[in-house]
Amino acid sequence: MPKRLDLLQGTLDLLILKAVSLGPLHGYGVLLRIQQISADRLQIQQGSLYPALYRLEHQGWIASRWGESENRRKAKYYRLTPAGRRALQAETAYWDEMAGAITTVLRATAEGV
Amino acid sequence: MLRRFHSWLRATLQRRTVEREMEDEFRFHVDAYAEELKRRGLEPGEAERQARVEFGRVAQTKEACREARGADLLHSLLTDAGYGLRLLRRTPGSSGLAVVTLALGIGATTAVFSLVNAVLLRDLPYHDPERLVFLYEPIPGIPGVPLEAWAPVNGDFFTWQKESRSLASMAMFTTDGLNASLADSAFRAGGSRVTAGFFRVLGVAAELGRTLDDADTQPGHGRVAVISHALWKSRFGGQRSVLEKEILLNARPFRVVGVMPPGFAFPHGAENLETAGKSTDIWVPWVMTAEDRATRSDNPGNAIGRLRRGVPLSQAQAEISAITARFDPPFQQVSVKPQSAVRGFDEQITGGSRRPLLIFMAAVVLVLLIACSNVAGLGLARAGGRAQEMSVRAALGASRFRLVRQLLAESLGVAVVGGVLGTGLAFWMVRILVGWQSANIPRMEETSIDGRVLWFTAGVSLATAVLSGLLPAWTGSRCSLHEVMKAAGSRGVRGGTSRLHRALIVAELALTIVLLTGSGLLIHSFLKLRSVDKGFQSLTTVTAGVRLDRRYNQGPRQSEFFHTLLARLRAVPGVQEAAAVDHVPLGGGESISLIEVEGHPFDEKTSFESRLVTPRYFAAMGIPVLEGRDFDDSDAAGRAPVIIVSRSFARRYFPGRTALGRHVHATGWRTIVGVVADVRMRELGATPPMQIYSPMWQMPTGAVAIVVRSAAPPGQTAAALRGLLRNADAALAMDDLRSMEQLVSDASAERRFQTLLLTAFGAISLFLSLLGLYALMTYMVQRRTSEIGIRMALGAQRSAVMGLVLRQGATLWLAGIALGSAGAWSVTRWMSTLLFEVRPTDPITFVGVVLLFCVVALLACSLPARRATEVDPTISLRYE
Repeated sequence: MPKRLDLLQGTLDLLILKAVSLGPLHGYGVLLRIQQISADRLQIQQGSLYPALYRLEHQGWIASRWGESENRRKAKYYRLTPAGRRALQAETAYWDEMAGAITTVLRATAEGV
Repeated sequence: MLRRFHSWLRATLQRRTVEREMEDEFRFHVDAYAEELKRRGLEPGEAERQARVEFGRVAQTKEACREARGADLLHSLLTDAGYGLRLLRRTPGSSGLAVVTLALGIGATTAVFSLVNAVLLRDLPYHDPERLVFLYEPIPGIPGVPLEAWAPVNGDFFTWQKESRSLASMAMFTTDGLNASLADSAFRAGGSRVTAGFFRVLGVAAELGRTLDDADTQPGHGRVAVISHALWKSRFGGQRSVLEKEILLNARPFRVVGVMPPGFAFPHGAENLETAGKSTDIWVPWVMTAEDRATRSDNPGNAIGRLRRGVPLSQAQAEISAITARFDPPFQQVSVKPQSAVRGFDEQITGGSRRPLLIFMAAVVLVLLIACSNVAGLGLARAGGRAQEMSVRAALGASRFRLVRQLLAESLGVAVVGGVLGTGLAFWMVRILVGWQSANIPRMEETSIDGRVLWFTAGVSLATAVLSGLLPAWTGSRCSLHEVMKAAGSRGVRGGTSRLHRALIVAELALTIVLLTGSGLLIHSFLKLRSVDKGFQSLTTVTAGVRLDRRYNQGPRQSEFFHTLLARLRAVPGVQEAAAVDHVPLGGGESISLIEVEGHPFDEKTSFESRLVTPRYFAAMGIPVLEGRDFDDSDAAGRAPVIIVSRSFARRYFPGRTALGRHVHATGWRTIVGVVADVRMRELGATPPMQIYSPMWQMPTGAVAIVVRSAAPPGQTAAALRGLLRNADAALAMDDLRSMEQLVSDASAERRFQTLLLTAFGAISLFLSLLGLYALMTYMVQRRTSEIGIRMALGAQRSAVMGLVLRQGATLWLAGIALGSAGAWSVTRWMSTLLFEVRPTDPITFVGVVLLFCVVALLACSLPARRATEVDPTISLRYE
């Protein structure tokens, strides 16, 4: 089993938006998808998932609807709204920039400065 | 934003659904994860357990989800309120007391505010009423004539109208009583002759048909009338066919061309004008000849105008003043140049009631404050008993804010229940208030509880919740676990009540003293007013107005008509005296003259109340003839001109000698033949000016008040008079019959209203503050039960215990009396305009109030004191 990383503060929302952007998912599905894409390297506290989902829904970035799961049970599915798509783009761009900047800083050597 | 609100709304309103969905969602998650774990090979039981463990604490997650949706605040507030209500139910005694107290306070405040709302705040029923003005042309230096009596002379009005730029339109109107008749039933109606611009100025259109226009007021036209909604309903059955119907007004036919909307009754009922009835029902064009329009010696109408949009009142006043500065003195007798006055409608119609209403509002706010501090006192007492609960909650991690919020929610619960009950109470109080008044506060009959009043009540309820709740909440939440536990562990002597609570009660008692003193002063004034010497003694004399129309346009015909009518009236069984006067005392009419007295230079600065009377008038009214004689039928036209003067007249001009045989120049030189008592003709509360009486047979008039003293009941007299009138002329009607007692009562109605209202406030606040004192003392006795028990066990006598409690009570109410009397001393001068022959610092009232207060305060304290003496030491020591 690979080493699991704790999430950086504030990144859960971004991950949820990304996960949902690939197709409607129920809460458990969001968890599975993030673990699957990250090859099980990201550790998500299950308890913090739902407050985040509710917060995003309250902000209007994702919308929910009751549907039927793979094993024919009633489950609540979340999908990205247009506003959520814009937010995801903005957040992604921000993340890229931030990550790039931090990487640059961390790679700096004595000679480069 | 909208979506967010929607989500919040859903979370708040569909709470149960949302909660269930949340549970379903979580269960699905846990189940799905457990399946997964099972697939990985775990035991079913172990799989489920681990799934639940990894999910974490469900309740906490739920709370976090709720917070994420913003649904939390309202919910926890509701929880608090629910908890508060439960608690209040558990202590029904003190909660009930608090609710009743607030209901009384809020109810009284709401009722008075709805009065203020109707009289001062609500718009007058005209288009853009703030642009409407009255215009007057006063002549300076003539005392005793109110501004409202100085209508402009016709000529000057039309000059204003022609030259003014700041007024968009102007009009004149009269306030008359008309003899109207329809299909041979005659009745009296309030009527008004109006110039062409009248309805344009007021900006009110007809409900049916049309109003009057320029063409109607041209000579040769003018036989058209506009009627009120009320008259249309009562006399024409509300039929649309009323238009083009004919109505006889003063025996001449008029065609009805329009009906005004309901509620339109200007100028009658507009308080500043002589009101023959309460409402105007008929408007007819005022047809003037060129000569009428130019006259500068007659001012039969009143003037109104509408300011041009954006023009302030001061600008209009400046302009009219500038025009008026060119005018010569109007009227022949006057040598002083006139001035002008432009007054806003609101000020003129309701301005006089502003001060009393604001005094009532202040008084009722005092009542509300007393109610609030009472409830705060109860809250403090309760908080004292709950120190333990609060400190435990604080120890368990409740923040101070959370504790304050909970305590405030409790007082909000009380205030809401009190507010609802208070609103109900206010409906009832408003009905009583409106019933008390009679015609003296304009627009008061329009009082009702409308949206604005309800908002006000809601605001007041909220304010009382905060006012009465904050103090106990703050002190109640300030608790130290250590202190409380220590206190709970110990027993025996413990401080009685908080200093704050005692201070509250003292403040409350002081406010009550202020209110009681205010109402005491009014009561004293009212008693003085009722016993004042009115000048006429017969209160059972009845009176009714009769007005002849133009068919009787010559003096001799008028005299002959009334002479015959009075002679027939005297022959009616039971009638003792019958006479006529142009304006009956306290009837609202007034006539003022400038005269010259023999041996004194003419003084245009002294005015006299003048009356035209028939023989036997003084006898019918019970006015003592002090010297000389009454008029008799020999004082007729063509005979020696005579006059009767009042006592103060005789004293002023002929001190130490007889006035009889002297001469007065009032419409020719007249010889004084009698001196009569001074009569309060205009109002009860003012010393009457000098008065003169001329014989009606020598100066005939067509508009009189018949006065009758009869042994028969008033109804019978009215029927007899009406019958005689119909026999004499079917087109004549008479006003409703009123007794002098009614007129006196009406004249004192405003003061009676003020007195009753303030006394009611005083009574409510006395009741409330004594309730507060009683509650405090009871609470104190309860808290000191163990101490009292120890004292008694050690041999204290019952009387000593009683004295202990009474002393403690007495320090409170004595402090209240001292503070309150000092407060009253400094504020009662604000109400000196409401007083009559009583100084604002009237010692009788002050002492009376203090005595009354001592008695009831002693009663309020003696009950708890007696309870203290019934403490059984053996039980009380086990009391904790």
